Amino acid sequence: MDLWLQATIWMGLAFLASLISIRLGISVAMVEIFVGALGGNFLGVHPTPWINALAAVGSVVLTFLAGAEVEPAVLKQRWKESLSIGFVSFLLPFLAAMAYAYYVAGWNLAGAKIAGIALSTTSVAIVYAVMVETGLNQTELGKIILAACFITDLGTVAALGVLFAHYNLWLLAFALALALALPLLAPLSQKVFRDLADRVSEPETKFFFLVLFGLGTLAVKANSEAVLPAYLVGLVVATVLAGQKQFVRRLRGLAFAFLTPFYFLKAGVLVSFKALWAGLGLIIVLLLVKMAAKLIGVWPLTAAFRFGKNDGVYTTLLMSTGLTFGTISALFGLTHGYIDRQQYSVLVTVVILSGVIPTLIAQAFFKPEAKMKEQAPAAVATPVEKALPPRASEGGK
Amino acid sequence: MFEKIIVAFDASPQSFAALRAALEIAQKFGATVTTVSVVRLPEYAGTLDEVDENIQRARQYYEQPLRQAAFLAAEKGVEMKSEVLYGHTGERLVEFAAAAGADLIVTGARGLGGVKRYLLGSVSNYLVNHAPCPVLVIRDKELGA
Repeated sequence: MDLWLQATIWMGLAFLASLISIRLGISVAMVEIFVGALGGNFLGVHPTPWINALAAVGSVVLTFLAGAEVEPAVLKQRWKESLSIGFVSFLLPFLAAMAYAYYVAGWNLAGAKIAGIALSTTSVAIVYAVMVETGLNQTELGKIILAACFITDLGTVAALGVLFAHYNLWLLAFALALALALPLLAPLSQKVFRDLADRVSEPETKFFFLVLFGLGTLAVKANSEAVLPAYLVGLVVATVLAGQKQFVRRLRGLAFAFLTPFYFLKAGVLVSFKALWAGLGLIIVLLLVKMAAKLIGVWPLTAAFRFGKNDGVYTTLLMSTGLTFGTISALFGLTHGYIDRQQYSVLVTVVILSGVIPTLIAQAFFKPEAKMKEQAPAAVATPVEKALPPRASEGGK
Repeated sequence: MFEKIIVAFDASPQSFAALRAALEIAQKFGATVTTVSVVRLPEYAGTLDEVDENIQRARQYYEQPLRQAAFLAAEKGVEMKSEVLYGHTGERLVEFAAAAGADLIVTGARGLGGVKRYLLGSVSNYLVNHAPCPVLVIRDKELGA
């Protein structure tokens, strides 16, 4: 099949996924995985080298943007709670899912590690959307949960980068390059924005791509994963990028239009429905293992930090959600031959289900009703109030 | 009889018809009116940006219509507040009405039929079945609803 026809089919699927996503109000990433799975199983769509390249860059840019979304101020506030909940939320599911895959399901050690990493994740975006709906994002509890999600993600990305690395000179070079680059990147990127921004040739975008590709090269040479430096780079430049909304918007536009669709579609294309059917029992058990491990780890901590029973269960369920980093981990395992297609299909399905089921349970049974009153639509209310004649304005307040 | 009236407001012509009806009632009973607009966020979002984008779009979308609504209320001399909530429209309206102790919800009808009604769902139908207070559904013949 020639390149242009392949590109047309993949972009057609991406466009279709966008339309469905807008229509149904479901995350485009999830729809792209689903559409990709349909394309792979029923239309014979399969990834080619150039699609793999775009997908790889997509996952790196997506991870960079995820790292850049971290609010350092949020991490600093109540860091004890955030750090302990976030770390346990990563560690316990990682160990539990790895142990189950290795000892019970009979996966080899590398495959079991991938299972552990893929199921240790928490989806920051899912948690954030749910918290905005309940107004919890404006509360202390919400900020702790969000910060804990960032810590969990960091644990996942670090495990992916460290557990499979070859301990050789390349790893040393990678570690040195990271140690050198990370402290310099915030002031350097500030300088790039100050001196080079707002030009047609987009030098600031190229600068970040250069950094991500360079560190990614060293990571891959050390058999680590390019998403590890991408997340760390995002993290250290988060404060700088907070003041560069236009740049982030352009980068996100580029990523979501041309890079991440290939990544998520590919993640779906590689899911085998036959394997899914065969692994149905394992899917259910692994989902329960993930949720149970999060419950055992996170819930007692929420009690220790006096969250209240309902808020504690709610937090635990939200921390059980997963999506992007789970699929990145599973795809890393498949690409490097640590897991086969059946295992990959099982993991991706568990990851997607973990994005849906805990959210539904949390929303249906444990939604903290009281927090809803704290929600203040200031940005909308302000212009209305300004426009009001005196009498109505008084009533508006 | 009515003190706190809630209007399900999505800036559509039908919701403006509902608002006008609510303002008439509020004027007669000396009630306050709160317009409640519900913004749907992406389910199971992939990135924070996806969520923030919807919030941003909603702010832009509602700015002008809410200003217009405020002028309509001012013309009638009715106290009016505006709230923008996030989530599922019917559910959030019902929750808000219960929390605010509303004694009437006024909503427009889109007049959807058959398949469209099944696919899109009917907010007015949900409200009639789940609201903690009486619900007034405004059918505007001129709008074809």
